[in-house]
Amino acid sequence: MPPADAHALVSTSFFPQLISGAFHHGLVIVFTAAILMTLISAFASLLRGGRYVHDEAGATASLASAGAAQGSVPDARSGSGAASGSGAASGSGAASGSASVSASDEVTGPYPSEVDGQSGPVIPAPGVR
Amino acid sequence: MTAGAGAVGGGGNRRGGDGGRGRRGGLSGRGGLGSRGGLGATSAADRRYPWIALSNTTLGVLISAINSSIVIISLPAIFRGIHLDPLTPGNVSYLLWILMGFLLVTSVLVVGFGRLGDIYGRVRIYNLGFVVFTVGSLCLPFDPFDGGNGALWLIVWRLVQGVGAAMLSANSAAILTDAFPANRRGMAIGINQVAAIAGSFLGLIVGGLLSEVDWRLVFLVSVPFGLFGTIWSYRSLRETSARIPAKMDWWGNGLFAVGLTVLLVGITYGIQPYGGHSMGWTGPWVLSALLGGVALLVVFCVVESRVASPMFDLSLFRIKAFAAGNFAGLLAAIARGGLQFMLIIWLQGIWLPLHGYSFEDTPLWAGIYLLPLTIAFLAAGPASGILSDRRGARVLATGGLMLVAASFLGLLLLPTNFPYWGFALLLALNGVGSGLFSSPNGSAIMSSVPASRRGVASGMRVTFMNSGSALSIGLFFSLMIAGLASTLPSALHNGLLAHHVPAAEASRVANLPPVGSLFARSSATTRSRTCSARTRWPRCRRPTRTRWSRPVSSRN
Repeated sequence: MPPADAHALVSTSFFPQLISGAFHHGLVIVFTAAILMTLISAFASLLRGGRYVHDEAGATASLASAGAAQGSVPDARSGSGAASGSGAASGSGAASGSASVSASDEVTGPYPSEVDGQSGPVIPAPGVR
Repeated sequence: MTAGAGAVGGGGNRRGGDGGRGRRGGLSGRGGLGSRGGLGATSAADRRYPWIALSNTTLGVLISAINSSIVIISLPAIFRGIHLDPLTPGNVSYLLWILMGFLLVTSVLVVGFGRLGDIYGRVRIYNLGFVVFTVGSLCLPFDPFDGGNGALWLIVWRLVQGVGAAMLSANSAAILTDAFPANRRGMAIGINQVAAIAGSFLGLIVGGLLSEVDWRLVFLVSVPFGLFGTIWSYRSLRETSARIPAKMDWWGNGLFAVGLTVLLVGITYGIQPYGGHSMGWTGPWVLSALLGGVALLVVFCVVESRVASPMFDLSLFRIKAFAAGNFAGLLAAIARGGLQFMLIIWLQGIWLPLHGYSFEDTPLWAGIYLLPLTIAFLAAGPASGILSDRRGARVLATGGLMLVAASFLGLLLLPTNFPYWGFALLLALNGVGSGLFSSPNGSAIMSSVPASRRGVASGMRVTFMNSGSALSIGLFFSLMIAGLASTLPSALHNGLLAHHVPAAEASRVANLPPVGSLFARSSATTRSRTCSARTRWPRCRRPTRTRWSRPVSSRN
């Protein structure tokens, strides 16, 4: 082997340059997959709905009635006491008025515009175990 | 990478919401001490306690996060140290398991240790985590074996380290929730989360720095911190929450652990050659592992809908915000985990050598050149968390993910030998996007569930993120090899022939499995230092000191 070739082979640039084309081909596949996953993830994120905060008033009320948290309403004011139909323990639906107001003031109150169409239908709360 | 990101934002959307109300729902005792603080009737020691808890859990989360990434960058030095050739296809599984074992254990056990903390005391499990972690860190550097057994030793003690890290990260968020009143919890958990993510980037720099000195230091560095943390936490932390008589979901935990492990084993061996193919996806063992793993996870879901106190509360998926947030978080974690790994290979193998960095310096400089990612994340994360308290998560999180996708597109279009400013800008864009996404997404998940379900919801969220990180390494590695397999052999062959390498030798090198060539690039950079021009070619490929113990073509 000519000395010039041997020298070229052992330089810092030979091997990286040799594989860089193939490596870039690999990178294209890798980053394409990453883009696809990120876009699906973004789509899922878009489907999350508007600002949704579990109504803690229901949880407070249900503590008294020894029930688990039931009332899942996006906006405590729009659906006051609208504890979900499915498996709502008696009592938790009747979230006390004062607690309901305080929850809406603290959490969702100042930003009612952020709550989108979710306020109508109530998302079923997890069932009691 | 995500270890310890715990119940991020658990306090975000409910600031002030439950201050002074003390116990509510099923998570008894959260805010026990804090609510006393809210009433102002506390001694000086009580006032100091939250800060002690915060600094201690930050240390715990930081060292576990550092250890999740420290190995990625120092693997070459470790393999050199135990005289194992990671380039032979059979040895690649050692490489992947030293990386993935820790992530796998933390993702599998974090929910279980959270539950055990609820039952037996969060501080007790957390303190034990420091002990286990320190024992693991102490045993790792004193590897008595060489070669395959040496690698097995490292894999086993990395798993032990992972058990400790899972104990630490599972309970740190709960300890903070207990120690701080509700109106300061967001801040406390936020600092904790910043530590968790900063740690995973810090690990890259620390690992690069230490592996230049000695590979054992990469593990030994955790020991003094672990010892200090053990003594400190046993002396200062105290149980402030009542214990909850709950049942451990052994079936769920077992099925999930075995299912995810089998799936990862399948992916690991799918990367390796089988039959005439460069990858083993058609091998009977790989196929049965993949299908079996998925089947076990399906059985897990069925079991979880039946048992009394499941580790995964499947009914929470009926909450749209919870289901969407977790799905988005899982996919984003897979994409992010692969990115870090690929960027390091890119920098260490191609870009830094082309820019004249000697191989000893590439780990350190790879860490330094990735700093824009860290800095942008740290800047965007907290700001986005504050914004999401006002504006909701949807716009911020989705927009953040679109920025991440755009940065991937940019990285795809970037030439392999890129100008650094372009790379830095894309890294910063990616960091900002991830920061915009992560914090609101975590916060939205946590505030969408009833207070009594926060414990299990937090565990599920962390499990999704950590499983994503563990899966991503195997997944992206196999994608990269698929890309290399189609073009690398001919490129190698022609390149070597052009420099008058004997044809037989050139085709032998070119037909080595792509797995080997991917890592051979690291040893290639050493040749200029160790070989002189008069050395014959095959000899020349045996450097006296190489990043990897034995370069690919020295096997004759």
